[in-house]
Amino acid sequence: MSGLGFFLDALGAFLTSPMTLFNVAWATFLGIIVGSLPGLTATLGIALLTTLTFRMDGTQAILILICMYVGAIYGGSRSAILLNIPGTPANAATALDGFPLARSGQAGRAMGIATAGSFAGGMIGMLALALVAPVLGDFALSFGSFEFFWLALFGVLISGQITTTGDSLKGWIAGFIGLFVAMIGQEGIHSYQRFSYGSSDLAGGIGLLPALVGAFGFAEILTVMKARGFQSVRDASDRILPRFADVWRHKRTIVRSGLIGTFMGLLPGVGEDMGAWMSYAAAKRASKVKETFGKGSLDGLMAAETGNNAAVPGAIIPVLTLAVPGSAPAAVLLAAMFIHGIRPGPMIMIEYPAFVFEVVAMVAMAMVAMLIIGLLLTRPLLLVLAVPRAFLMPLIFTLCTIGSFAIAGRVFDIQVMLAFGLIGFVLREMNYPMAPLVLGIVLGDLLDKSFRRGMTLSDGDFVAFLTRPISAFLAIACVLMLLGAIPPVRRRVSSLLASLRKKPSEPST
Amino acid sequence: MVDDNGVTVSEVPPTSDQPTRADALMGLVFVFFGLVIAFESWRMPRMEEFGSNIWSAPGVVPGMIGLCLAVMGFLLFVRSRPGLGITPPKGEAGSKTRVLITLALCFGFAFVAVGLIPFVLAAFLFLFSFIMIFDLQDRRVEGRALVGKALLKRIALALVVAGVAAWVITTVFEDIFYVRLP
Repeated sequence: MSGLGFFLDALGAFLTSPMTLFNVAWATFLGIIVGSLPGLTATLGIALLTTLTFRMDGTQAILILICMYVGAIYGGSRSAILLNIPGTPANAATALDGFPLARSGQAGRAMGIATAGSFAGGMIGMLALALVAPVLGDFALSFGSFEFFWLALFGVLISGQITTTGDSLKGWIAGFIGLFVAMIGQEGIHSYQRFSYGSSDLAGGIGLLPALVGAFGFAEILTVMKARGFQSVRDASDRILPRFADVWRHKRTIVRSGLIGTFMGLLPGVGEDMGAWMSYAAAKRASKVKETFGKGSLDGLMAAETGNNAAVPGAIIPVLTLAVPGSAPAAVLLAAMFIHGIRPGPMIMIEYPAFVFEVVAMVAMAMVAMLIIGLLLTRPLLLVLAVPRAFLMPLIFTLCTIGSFAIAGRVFDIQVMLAFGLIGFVLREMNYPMAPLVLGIVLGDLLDKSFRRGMTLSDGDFVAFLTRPISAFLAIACVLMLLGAIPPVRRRVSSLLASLRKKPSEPST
Repeated sequence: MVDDNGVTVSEVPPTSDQPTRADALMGLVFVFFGLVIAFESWRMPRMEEFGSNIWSAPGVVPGMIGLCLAVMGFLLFVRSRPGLGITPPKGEAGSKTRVLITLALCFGFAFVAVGLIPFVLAAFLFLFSFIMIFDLQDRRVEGRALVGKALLKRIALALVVAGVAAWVITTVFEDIFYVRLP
């Protein structure tokens, strides 16, 4: 059966099942609420829902998690526009123009544009998911230990480089801390218990979900409670339904931001917020009225919201085909797939070809639900934003505690959540990004096994890691990234590039 | 705020941060931590006695990770040395006391009370005390402090919210989603 056939089959099955429609509606609605509340992020929402749905049928559980993912990334635009506080940091660029629009009495219009942009971006990303995932899956079949080692290292390095707030060294340190965390517990080749010191809990390893719930839930609660002041909700009484002309005027921005967002999603551990920032920067560069950006530009708002939602399906592409997450929420989605017995990776197009297109149909369902709920239930959603943090944060922490415990039933996981919350809070206060840390935890096992297997296959000859075309390409990319971080090298390269750019414009003598 | 990918996000695109004393000290912490990891990895069995290739030994990759971490920590220290005399700039208005109270309440609930007393009771006590402490403080800061009857009403509201939330959370997880509670 063709990809389109699988997609239509899955869509038909979803649309004719009342239970599925009910799940799509509540999960997307919950996602929008989670995203719109500062203190709750998409990663935490998906992690908590994974614990709630792990006894459900796998397809329904993954559908619910994707709806939560899509809803949360979109929902963050609400608080960004109304409160100038991005609900999820993927919406930080949204606040730049959304909030000035709300301040000038156009909150409804801004929310309408954000909704239209999110939907359009999501659909572009969904198309890319349907077209790229099968090709990448086939391509990944040629990957062996050598390629997977470099891919894991490349993932941690690029995530550390792009998501950091200026100093890539801090991003890489966070990534290597994540890799170390993945080394704790029984390893897969000789079954030796590393760094466990006789503790059966440590021998079982550090669970990804409790670590994420701590780093994204508890750490966020501490950050929210630290601040003395907290803004209240604004009014949004103007027209919310976007005008067609308003949307059509930005068609170039939509396509450009959709493609940029999808590409940012594809890169390991980079994700939605960089999708938004890169799209915003590209829209500003292309705009004839650059001075309006940051002062209520509809083009800027459209770019940011299209970019972040396009990154959602983009981040799912490497999850399905390489078992490498494109973002932190996608890392939880990957863990959830393993929990439900689905094995993403290069074999997916051979073992479960229908599943890839089921996921495409799930994204389509989530996007449509997001559009409908986003446009129709605006005012009830505003009420949620008015809940005081003193009431909301302890509720979230109670859910974090249950969520950490639920999957394995280990009290140790609650302690992991608390420890990672504290570590996450301290690292965040010092400007260390946490995406590389998450990616390190996810990719640590792959890096470890691939390196040791590769060295065994090549009988200890590291040159074998450099002679195959894909591994050589990834190795060069890693080396270039490392060299690029050395200030004198970076200065020399940029001066070289500047002189090359200058030469053609010089008059010939 | 931190994003879904763990990036600290401000209202402007990311800019480079100035090195501070804390960065230099953290660099030294990472050097020590990395060296400890490398040493512990070195002590792991090599598995050669079982005829395995030495490169498949369990300590190989963690050892390299430890060494990389130590090198990066050293680079961070060297790069941040000019900032040794600089105390970190104050970020958004925040309170250490608020963080400490939040920590005490959260650890008291998750580390001490859970498992010691029934979950529903632990959740109720945690929710009620958290709401009371911070709601009243937030109101004082905002100049909306409550006295007399209004204060009693707010306490009653907190009691009801904490009680209903603790009961609903326990019931939903245990009886609807069949999740075992600690």
